[in-house]
Amino acid sequence: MRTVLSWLCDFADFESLVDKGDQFYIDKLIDVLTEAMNERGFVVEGVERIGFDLNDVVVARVVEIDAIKGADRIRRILVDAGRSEHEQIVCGAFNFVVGNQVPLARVGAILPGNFEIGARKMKGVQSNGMLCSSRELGLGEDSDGLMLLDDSLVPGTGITTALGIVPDVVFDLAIEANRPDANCHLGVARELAVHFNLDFSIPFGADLSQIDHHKLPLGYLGDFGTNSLMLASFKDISGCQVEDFVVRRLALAGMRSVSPIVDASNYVMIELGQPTHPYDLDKLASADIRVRPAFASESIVTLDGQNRTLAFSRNPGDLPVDLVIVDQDDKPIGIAGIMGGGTSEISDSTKTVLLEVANFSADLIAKTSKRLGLRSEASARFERGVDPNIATLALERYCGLLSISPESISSVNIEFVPTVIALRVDQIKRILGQELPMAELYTQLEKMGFLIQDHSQGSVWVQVPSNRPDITIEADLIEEFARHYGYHRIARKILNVPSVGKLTKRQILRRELIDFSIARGYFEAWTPSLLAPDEQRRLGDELEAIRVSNPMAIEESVLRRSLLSGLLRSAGANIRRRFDQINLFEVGSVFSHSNPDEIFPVETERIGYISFSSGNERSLAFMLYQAMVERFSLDGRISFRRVSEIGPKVMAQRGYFGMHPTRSVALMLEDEIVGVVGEVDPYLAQDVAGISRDSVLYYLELDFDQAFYERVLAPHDLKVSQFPSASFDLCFGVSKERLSRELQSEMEQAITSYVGSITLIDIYEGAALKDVLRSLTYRVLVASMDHTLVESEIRAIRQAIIDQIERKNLGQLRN
Amino acid sequence: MELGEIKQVVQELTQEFEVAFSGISSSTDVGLLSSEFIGKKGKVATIYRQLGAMEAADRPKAGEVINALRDHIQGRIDGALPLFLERERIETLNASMSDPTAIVDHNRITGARRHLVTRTRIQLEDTFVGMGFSVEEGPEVESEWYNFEALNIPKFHPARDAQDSFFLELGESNSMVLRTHTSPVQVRLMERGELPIYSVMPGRVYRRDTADARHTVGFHQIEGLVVDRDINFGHLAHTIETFTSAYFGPGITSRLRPAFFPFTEPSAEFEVTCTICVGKGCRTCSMTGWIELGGCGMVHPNVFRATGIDPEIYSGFAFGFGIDRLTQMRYQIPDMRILTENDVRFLSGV
Repeated sequence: MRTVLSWLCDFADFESLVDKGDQFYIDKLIDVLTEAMNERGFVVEGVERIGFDLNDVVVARVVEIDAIKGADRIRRILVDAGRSEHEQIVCGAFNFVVGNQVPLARVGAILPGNFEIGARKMKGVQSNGMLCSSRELGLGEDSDGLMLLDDSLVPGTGITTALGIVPDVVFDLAIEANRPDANCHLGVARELAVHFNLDFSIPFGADLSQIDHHKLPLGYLGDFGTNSLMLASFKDISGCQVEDFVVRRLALAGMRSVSPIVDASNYVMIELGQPTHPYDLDKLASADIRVRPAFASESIVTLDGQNRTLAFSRNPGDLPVDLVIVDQDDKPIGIAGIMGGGTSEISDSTKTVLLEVANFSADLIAKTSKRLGLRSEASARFERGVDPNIATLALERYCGLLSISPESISSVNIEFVPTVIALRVDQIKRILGQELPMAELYTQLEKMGFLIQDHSQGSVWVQVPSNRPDITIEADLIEEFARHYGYHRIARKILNVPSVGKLTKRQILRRELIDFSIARGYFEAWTPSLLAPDEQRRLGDELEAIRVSNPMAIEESVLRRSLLSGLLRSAGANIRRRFDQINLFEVGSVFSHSNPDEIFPVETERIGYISFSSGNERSLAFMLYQAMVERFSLDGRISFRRVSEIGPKVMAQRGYFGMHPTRSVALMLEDEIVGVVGEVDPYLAQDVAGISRDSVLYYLELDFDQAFYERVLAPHDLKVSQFPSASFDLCFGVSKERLSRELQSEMEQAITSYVGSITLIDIYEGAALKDVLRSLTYRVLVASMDHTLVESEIRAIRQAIIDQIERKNLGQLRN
Repeated sequence: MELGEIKQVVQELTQEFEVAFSGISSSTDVGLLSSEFIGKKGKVATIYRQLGAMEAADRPKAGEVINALRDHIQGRIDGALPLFLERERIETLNASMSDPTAIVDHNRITGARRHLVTRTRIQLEDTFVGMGFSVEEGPEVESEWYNFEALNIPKFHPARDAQDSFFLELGESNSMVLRTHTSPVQVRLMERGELPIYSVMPGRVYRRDTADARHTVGFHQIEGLVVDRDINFGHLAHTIETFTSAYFGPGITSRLRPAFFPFTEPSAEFEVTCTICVGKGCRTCSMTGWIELGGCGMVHPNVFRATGIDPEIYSGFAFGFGIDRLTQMRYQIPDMRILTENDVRFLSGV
């Protein structure tokens, strides 16, 4: 909320907080108030000083404009600024001609922002001051050219006098949603007056006791949602004016002046927090208006010219219910609490006015405003809660501002029942950690309008003022006491944590995986979880991804089912930036939903790797997997099946897609697919990420919990033999359809009663072989746990391995 | 052979050795000299063999003379050998000079490291683990109950608006949401009912904000929750301060000011000394010397009731702030959107 200093000072003498004779008076006052507002939770997001520091700025008439040799961005200007001789200025603006009047900051002037004007020479031309834009004077945002002043002003006149500027300060305050009372100058001033222990008073009010005042029937409030309705009719307002300060302060608060009738209404709202609505009474059927729920599909054209369709439901808990103001003929003339209708709008020709001062239920206004997408200054206040007891003061203030009296007043209201809370004083110590000076705070709270009475031993009754709907329970009161005492004064207490802080095994493992990946040269990436709907479909995903019902953009409207899309996109972006070696990985969640009985989707954490290299590396992804197996001691439970064998459809159902069918394999844990490793389908990579089909993208993605976590954390024996290992090589002729890992697994099976390892050391696919075969050479390293192997044993092991491979038809021994 | 003859031979051999010794120039020469004179078939051994032909009475004396010669030669060789070896070592090393900084590595791995956000998250986790907290996690897709209702944010509450959530097409309309904060993890933790609780909960969250220099659609938060008997606001203020000085280092302090959150009462926002200007006032902190970091407060009694904890027995506090925002502050990232672009220059460059 834009809060005007002079406006606050109407209610309490804040200017007395700083010695007025002080050279830095206004700066000190701003500091003192800013600190207090921050401490009270009214966060100062900005401070604007208006009309200060303009002592040496005068009206100047341009009398001559000359080019400067060798400069095309500045010109020499001669001005008449009230002195006997013309003054010479160098100026870079071009939006004026001879005869215009502009502001001149003379040498020695200190402009807003502590900008001191000195005499300067530019391109050899003396400049005795500066001609200013409105922004440079702190009088507006326009910095495009000089501020052009009215031609009738007398040159040499001080700019503040010439423009009638009253120096003032605007604080831009962030008021929390639960503090409607502070959403107006009255509320901020009251809180600050309590803070500084200054006298607070409301220095206005009109005596309306002589006015004809009658009660309206309760039915005028409609069935629900309206707490009070006050109507005042005014005759012959055509000559009404408001004083200058009204327009000036409204402008500072961010509202433009419309007409005295509307300005006064806005002023009351910003001062007291009570929205009011003036109708052109001659355009209404009569002064007899009331509130009712809208009928289904009823519509109204609002002040902004839009046709709004309203809604109604018998069940106010479920659906929005809109309230309308209707005239004598039951025709809507406004949407209650949000915006009036166009037909009865105040205009220049308005002669009679009906002022509506009402109080509506915050919930209903919030719902209607949200449903219609229509927010106004009034609705913003109603949806937070307007003080139900301020209507009369608002009407008095309205009359006072326009110096008019209503012809008649009619009103009806549901009696406001104040909230009363029993506060157990010991709860203050329990929740805040210390006792507070209660007597002092009771006095402060009473100044805020609270009523406090002894209740019983150790507790008091607290009656909450009508402008504080945020306070409904004891905890709210404890906060109120803490706020008045000052959060910063509450003593800090050491927290003795009884537990030992630690990460879970799963968290430690994830960190180790990340660091392992980095050590292998992979950069950690973070890709979006929300994707375009076709992005995964184009990669071969056939299942429906979970959709966002209210996306910001179609590109971010479904949840990812795999990490591939994001990593592919990132790889593509990097390749386009001409990096020839890209290794990226990501740890993140993927989402799928296939069980209609379960509302929660299946959310699993995966780790994905993508590599692109312009070199001739082979199977980068599988090398990484192999390193992972060794680093994390994964055993041989995981087996491998080629994607083409499983079928891309089945793969996609499990959330693995976009892979090259014959150059990638699924990682299988029994029948479960727990990951995939190999190459990305180059056709799809080109289609989705624009990566050339000639590029090879290696990819590995696995389910963190299934592939890793359970296995790695399961207890297993660490077998290290004390005896020497034997080593021999075996070479097999193997069909291209077979996976080397199949052979390795079988070979491992054959040596389970020993400890050892089997490593592929050579691949040969030369022309000398029949084209269905390749030659794979393995090195076997084997040892016994309890003795040194003898020659005959080693021969037996060798033969067992060969038999295992040949019996399963995986390959033929070659010599 | 007479003793005198032996002596004569020894003397001649001594001279012969001295001449030969003065001519050696390498450790190899030393080795050759050694075997020529005191090797198994060397000249000294030859003299020893003549002892057998001597009178028994002369043998000890003759043996002494030969032994002395052998020891002399051995001593000379032992003295000379290390000097030659050392000289030769240095000559060999000097002769094998090469440039260790000249490398041509085609498989070079450059600058891979943790993502900045991960780095910040891990530093934060470690700070809190050091303070005795555990780290808790939870799902990113949440029900309305965990994300709003249990946190004292009923339907049509303005906070549901302000948070601008992404709802999902799951179940009834608006019943499932991409979590807008990590607070649902707190709810799950409290529901589990294992008290006391001293935990932090980091994770990815989603808000329906237009991506700009300070926002991305998905981002990361860390929250903390303490629930125990006799936990109070003083503990909250102290915990925030402990974290601030532990994480940011000396000279950085914290302060609380009143604020509003539906799930805490009393509620506060916490600010820390601006890390750029260390409190002097700069553009980053709008000349205030302070930077707003996050929200905190005492757990609202309604939240306790919703999760089955008796607010008359237990009390607690919660706090939370943005990991990405902290990352942005710490590494002076002008535009947050670069965090999701994954340009390898950015991933490695900071």
